[in-house]
Amino acid sequence: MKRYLVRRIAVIPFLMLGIITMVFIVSRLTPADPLVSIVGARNLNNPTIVAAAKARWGLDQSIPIQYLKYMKNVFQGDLGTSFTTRKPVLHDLWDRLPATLELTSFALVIGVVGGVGLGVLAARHRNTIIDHVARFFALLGSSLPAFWAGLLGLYVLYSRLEWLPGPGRLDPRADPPARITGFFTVDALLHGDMSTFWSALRHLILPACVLGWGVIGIVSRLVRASLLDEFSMEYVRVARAMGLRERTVVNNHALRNALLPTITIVGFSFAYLITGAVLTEIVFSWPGLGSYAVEASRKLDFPAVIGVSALGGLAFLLTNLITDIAYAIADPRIRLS
Amino acid sequence: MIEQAVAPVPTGAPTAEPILRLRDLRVTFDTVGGPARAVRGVSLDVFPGEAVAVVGESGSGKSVTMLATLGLLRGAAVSGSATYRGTELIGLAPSRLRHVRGAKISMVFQDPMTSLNPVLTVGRQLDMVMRAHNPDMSKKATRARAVDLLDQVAIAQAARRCDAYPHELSGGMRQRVMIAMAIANEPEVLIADEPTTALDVTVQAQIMDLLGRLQRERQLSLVLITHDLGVVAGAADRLAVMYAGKLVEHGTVPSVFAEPGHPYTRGLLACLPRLDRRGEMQAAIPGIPPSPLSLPPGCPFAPRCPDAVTACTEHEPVLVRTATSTIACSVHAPAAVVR
Repeated sequence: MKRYLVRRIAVIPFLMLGIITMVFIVSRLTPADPLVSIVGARNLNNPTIVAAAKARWGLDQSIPIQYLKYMKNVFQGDLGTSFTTRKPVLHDLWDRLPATLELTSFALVIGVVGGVGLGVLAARHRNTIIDHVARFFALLGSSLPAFWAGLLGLYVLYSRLEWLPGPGRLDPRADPPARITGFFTVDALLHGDMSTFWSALRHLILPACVLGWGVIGIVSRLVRASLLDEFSMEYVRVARAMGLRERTVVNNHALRNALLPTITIVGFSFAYLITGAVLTEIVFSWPGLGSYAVEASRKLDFPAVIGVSALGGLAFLLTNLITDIAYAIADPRIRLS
Repeated sequence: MIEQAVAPVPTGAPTAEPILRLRDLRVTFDTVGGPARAVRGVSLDVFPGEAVAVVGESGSGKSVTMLATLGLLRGAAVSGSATYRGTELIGLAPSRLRHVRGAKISMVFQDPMTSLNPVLTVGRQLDMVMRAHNPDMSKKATRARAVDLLDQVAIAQAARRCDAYPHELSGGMRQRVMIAMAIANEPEVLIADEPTTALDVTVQAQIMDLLGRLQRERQLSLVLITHDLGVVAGAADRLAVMYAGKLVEHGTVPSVFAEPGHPYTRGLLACLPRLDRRGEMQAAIPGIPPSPLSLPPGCPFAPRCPDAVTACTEHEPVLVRTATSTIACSVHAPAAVVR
């Protein structure tokens, strides 16, 4: 197990190099010119400005040279400077990462807790109205685009009912708490600032639910299916024959096994969360990596695009690693080998 | 069809009240192919401290009868009566039935590879079984008792095995764990459903010895479900033979073995491998048991029966007492009164 882990961690840097190279090549193959967004369309006819900009951003060199220079910087821990924000990409990423992490982790918790709960409910009441409603709810969650559900949620819960605040991470007049973790909810709590905490939490609810709904959809269907599989297993009949409460049979016996495939799917649903976060962040004006990525792509901000992609790739690799570790912890049959 | 309620009280049985009493138990599964009548009216008594073997081929309904008694069949229509010390179990509320299962009547299952939860330690599974009936027992107490139980079922290094996962144990050891779970709450009746079928031959004898010892020591009533008459000889006092969802013969083991009354029982006994007839072709009953979806008219065994006459396909025989046992056969024990 230990050796396996070391091996898994050791390959991560190499995979990262591959990801960065791929994104670099794809970005340079784009049949559009980032100069437009750097100097503005008006100055494109001005050869002095264009030449200066090209020299400034290193775009005057051939692509292989650009690549080598870029990689040299990467090895020194420099992901370049964003064309648009004019700040180091690493700085931008660090700035925006907590917002996205806070959103996705809340969404993941909502998705997993809600998904497991709904799946158990559907399996225990298989083929009843409860099961059908759960199926419909799950289907909606995984098929409704996040921007649609988000806009609908904002319209109903914010504009109409005014139960929840509008877009953003905080009320417009509130100051964000001094950064400790970058999670507004956590930082506000650490500072003992309850009003900021409530504001941050209330702002978080709707986007996290919109994003988590899709995960509920995926997880609940899987939990239902694997729980039904487990119900037909002999050990469940044995547990019943031994007089165990039905609740114990489901929660302590069957669910424990049914959650094994769920661990894998939760890892996978992280991919869904990353793409979903892009859409959700735009709808909710959430200042995270998703909106940063969209801005960067629209303006062909090469360093920013590569930086966001690399971070997404890293997140994916780490999630896979965590998934495998979690699986090994949960399944004693794997732990040994 | 003539149904005669013959109380299956055996000759030489204990005179006490039966601890488990089945009367006209019927189980029907609703299948795509129509209703499958798996058990068609079984009446059987189990007395305190005795061992009853229920014998039959796969699909004869012997397991289903016992599963239905404990309410462990889902999606099956069960009718008739099964009483434990006078308490009717069929249709009993799940919350009350739970207190019978495992505590009064317990069950050991066929395949120890699948009957234990793969992701929980042996000790944890024993703990849950004990707490199901004694919720106030402390972790420490269940742990101590778990070790003691594993010791009783002759598992070496019981304390260490307590923390083992099922996949770390051999098949025989898992079946011992299963038995430990079954006796953890001191039940009065132990139903063993083909407890040795999935095990190696050498381990089979050990498990049967263990069950026999526990039965004697604890004065358990043992219901041994098996298709292997060889297992029955040393382990059971009485024998009930099932075919196509009905009892076709029952009596004490010595008398049935000495003089089987029903042609099916004779066939089963003839199938036992015998050391004194080496070199001969192993005997077998020709044909296969009928499908519970489409039973033949009259006696369900008639198509395979060497003694069958025309009358066999006309009326299904009822259980009739003979000199040595009770059998359902129109040829060898014609019903005294046919209305």
